[in-house]
Amino acid sequence: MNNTSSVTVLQKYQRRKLNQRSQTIIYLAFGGIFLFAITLIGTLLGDVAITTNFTQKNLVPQMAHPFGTDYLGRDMLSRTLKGMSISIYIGLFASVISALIAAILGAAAATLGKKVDAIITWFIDLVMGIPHLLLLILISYALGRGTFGVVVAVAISHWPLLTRIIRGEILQLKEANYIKIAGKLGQSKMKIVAKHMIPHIFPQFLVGLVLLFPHAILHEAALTFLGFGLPPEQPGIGIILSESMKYLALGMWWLALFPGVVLLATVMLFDLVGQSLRKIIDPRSAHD
Amino acid sequence: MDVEKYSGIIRYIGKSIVKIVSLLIAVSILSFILVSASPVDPIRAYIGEVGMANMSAENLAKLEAYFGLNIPPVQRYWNWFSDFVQGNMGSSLLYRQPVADVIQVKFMNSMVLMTTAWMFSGILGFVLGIVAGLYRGHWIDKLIKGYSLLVASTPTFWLALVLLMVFSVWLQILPIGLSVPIGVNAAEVTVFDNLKHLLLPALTLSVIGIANITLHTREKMIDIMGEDYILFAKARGKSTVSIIRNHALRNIILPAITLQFASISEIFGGSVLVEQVFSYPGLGKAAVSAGLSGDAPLLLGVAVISAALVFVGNLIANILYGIIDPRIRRGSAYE
Amino acid sequence: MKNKKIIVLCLIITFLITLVGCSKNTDKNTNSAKDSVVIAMDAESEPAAGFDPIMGWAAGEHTHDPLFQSTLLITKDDITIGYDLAKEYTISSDGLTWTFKIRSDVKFTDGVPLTAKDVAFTYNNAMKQATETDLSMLKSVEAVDDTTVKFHFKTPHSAFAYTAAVVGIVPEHAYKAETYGKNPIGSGRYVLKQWDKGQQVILEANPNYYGEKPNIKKVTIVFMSEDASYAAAKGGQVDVAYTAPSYTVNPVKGYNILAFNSVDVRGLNLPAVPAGHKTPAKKSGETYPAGNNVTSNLAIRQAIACAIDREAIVKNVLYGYGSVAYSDSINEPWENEAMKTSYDPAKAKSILEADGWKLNAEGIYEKQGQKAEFDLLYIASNSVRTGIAMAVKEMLKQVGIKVNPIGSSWDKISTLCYETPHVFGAGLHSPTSIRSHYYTGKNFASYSNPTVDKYIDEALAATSLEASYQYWKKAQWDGTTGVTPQADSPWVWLVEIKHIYFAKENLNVVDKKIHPHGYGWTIVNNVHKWSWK
Repeated sequence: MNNTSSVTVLQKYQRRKLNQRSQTIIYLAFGGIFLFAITLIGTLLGDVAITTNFTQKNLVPQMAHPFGTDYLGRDMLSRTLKGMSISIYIGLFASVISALIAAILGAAAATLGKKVDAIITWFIDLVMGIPHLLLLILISYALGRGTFGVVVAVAISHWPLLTRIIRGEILQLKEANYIKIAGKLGQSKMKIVAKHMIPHIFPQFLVGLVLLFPHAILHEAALTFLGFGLPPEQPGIGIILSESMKYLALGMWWLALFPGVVLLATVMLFDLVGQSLRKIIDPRSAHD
Repeated sequence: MDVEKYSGIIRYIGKSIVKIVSLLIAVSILSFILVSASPVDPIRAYIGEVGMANMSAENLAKLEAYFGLNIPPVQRYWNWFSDFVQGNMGSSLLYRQPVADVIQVKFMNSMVLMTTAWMFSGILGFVLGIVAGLYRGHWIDKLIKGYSLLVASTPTFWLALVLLMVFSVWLQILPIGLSVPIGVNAAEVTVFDNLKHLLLPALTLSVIGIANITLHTREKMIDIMGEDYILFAKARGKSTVSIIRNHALRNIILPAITLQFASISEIFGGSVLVEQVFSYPGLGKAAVSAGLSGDAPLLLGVAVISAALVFVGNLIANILYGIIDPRIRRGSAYE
Repeated sequence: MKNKKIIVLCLIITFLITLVGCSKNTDKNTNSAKDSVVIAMDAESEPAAGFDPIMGWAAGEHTHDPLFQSTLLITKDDITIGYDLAKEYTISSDGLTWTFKIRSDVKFTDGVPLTAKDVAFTYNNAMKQATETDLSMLKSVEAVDDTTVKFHFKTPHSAFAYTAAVVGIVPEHAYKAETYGKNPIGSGRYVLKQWDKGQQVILEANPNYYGEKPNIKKVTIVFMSEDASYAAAKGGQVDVAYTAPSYTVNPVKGYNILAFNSVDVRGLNLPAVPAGHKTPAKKSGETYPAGNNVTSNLAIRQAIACAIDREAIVKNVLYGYGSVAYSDSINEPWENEAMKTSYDPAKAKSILEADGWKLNAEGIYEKQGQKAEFDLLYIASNSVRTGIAMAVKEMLKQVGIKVNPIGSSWDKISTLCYETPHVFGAGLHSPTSIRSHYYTGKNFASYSNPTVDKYIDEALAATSLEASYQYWKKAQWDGTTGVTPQADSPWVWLVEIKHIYFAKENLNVVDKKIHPHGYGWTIVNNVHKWSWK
């Protein structure tokens, strides 16, 4: 945080022409629109993604099929979009659940006394001790694999980091002078929470939630790729990529390349949206 | 060496070990609950649905006893735990061998892979971070930063696929899949059987692992380059190299190593995916096969062992952190 | 400062070790000695219960030479019966007693001679197990003396010779149900040297084998997915690799593509009873839900049979490596011509409309609130079955029937397929496949027709195989009723698939026998006769 003090004369000279805030908003809007578009198109696609056409099989990318087709003649562009939208829905659901868990646990740890704090902190250590992907595999296994397993696994395993952040923020706030003064001035606890704490924590929470997105999406795809997630007839992005692996040796590169690029782009965009949001909401972190 | 000076650390290590043991027991309980809650029936997994349908009721009862399914779960956990302490983790349904033997071999393979990747990514990321920090705002910095951000969002398994495509299918200079030499039991395949198979997985993991350390080192470097003593050294006309060596390096290397140790969990996660794509015979692949084929004892064993690995990494990170921060070294901040 | 140096030193040392390790890179290509062969087989071919004939090894759903054990009889290349352990056999005139005379010079690999007692032990025990090996027609088997064994039948079973050609004989003195599968002691051409579950088995020639000495002394069989098998061939790591049609578009250098004719057909079971039924209890007491509200409609089943363009499946999914099939006995002497049907989507629609089905707004037929829509299971790891499932879906969509393909593994499917149609594989060197698909209480379609049952009983009661053919044909269609697409249509057969392999150019693979269902072990039926050029 001592960054601001270390800006040299030279660096100051390099100020961008566009105001940073408006640039961030442009990023945010662009990212948001793009993601919304993918989701919408994917949702509206209907059956195209699973329609086979044997006269069009194994086609390299071309005008009619920009992403090529697979061994069953399915159009890879529609499959990719459909798969991405499924992943985004799962990611959305999972991040909301995880963020809620994080909010509750974080608040509890910070406000319900040392014992609760110790237990929750210990629990965070516990969950973070098992490598995340292995934890996902374990939960999915416990639920008998399949779609339900992957959704639950991703939803209930992403809370520890955000919990830590929220806990830290609340603890910091509790020590902040204006909160203490408000207390001394005789404002009720409820009022302090409603008026001073929540407005401060909520933006943090929102940013945390958006930043959970890319993780959730990546983990869903990974778990499905490994065979623990969506069933093979679904055009999940993990399914598409694990299927592409079968035809790699045959030289069908487009099966893996484009869906992967779209997944990468989606994850990056979500990250960008999250970071932009953070910059807008919390200018302190807007360095560099 | 002054023992007094380090008493804080020693006390801290003692405490940490107690904590790690308690966490490990908790991890084993949690994993045990998850594995036991699974609808995947070990007997079915062992003999298959078809075998199941043909099994007489009397033989079924025998198998149930064999798997201890007629014992209450708490007792079963206790049995598992007391065996585990003696180094017996049960036997793998998949490999039909003691889990401890399977894990031992797989663990060594994974360690070779992860250590290689861990060091490559650490060293390369560190160097890139320094360069980027040094040339802040320059195109080199932008390139490195952009690369790190890109890589941070890249799905590990997809990158693995792309590398496989490039090196094995197009250039045909490295083998595709099948790292298990034919004629050797896959539970006993060690990485030394064919080191060629190590290259691509290690490369994938390294390339992905760079992001964090680069960005972190870059930040630190920028901070330090703004410090007065650096400006002073510059003013005295010292060369960049000597400034880095004499002033900057010592201040950024330990935080970087600390970060690397704390990132073992992520590297492990990456190795699960990478091992799957390259069919590399490590812990991650074993965990996936165990999960897919209902081999509960093996899955449990891998979970506990990998958690131990992560905890030890975190412990080392914390100790290093203590060495950096003198306040902690003296024991004041560990409370 | 000291810390730093140590750490740096450690890093450097590990780095060096890794590098040195990399450079001494030993690429041991499994060198194919003149008398050994490495074969990549479908992962589904690995027998879960091990190599125990009593538990169904070689004699179950997939029939082939048991390799580790001897059989009484064998099927020759032209699917007629020959002799292995048996020197001769006679059938009583009522067909209820078969008497085998066996050789006296055969020893198990542990040195103990094989006698009629072992034969009796094997069959008497296999009878008690409810494996895919159907021995329900046997009453008991007795050893009259060391070289004579008598089979007593409950009902005549003219096709029994085909069963006797695949049931391997186990030693009574060394048989333990728990361990035999892992450690099979037999008297066959090969002994099991090593079995790494989920990966491979290694076979070695039995030095004391009584018959023709195997030319190939060591056979390594690795179990792989389709893509791994292709990659293994590409890397030159295997000598023979099974493959799927979609992989033939890119041939592998140094390998020929071998395509074997088969009676291996793919078809759909269409549960003929409505939902809510149960299967007869299995040995473990389990029953599975059976029946399907859509396919239990006769019109739907008949419509499906003529709505599928089999030629298109052969061309598109099989890349020509196959042929159209209308029955489970393709080109076998007991196949009935009446099983044939022509591709006619218009007829399919008119069948449905005549039965009162009406197209709804989505273009799907509907009758009394019941949509013509059902799930179709397929084995997801198998690209051909996946392709067939998808092709069926598209073709049935054209005639207003909606199909939702569901990919899974056979292990799961084996419990679900009684209520949901599945892309089955089938085909035996024996007319008994007709029995397993259509006989009451025996089949995946829960199909039952007393007339068909009667013909099957008569066929089995026939005094000779040849005499039984006419009854097998009548079981399919007798002029008024049967299982043809125009009649009850409980199964819709689609295509015969050729078994295709990549095989090293200098390997002489001897295999003239038409392949039954089971991609796997059939290829090694004659592995002992293979040779390197």
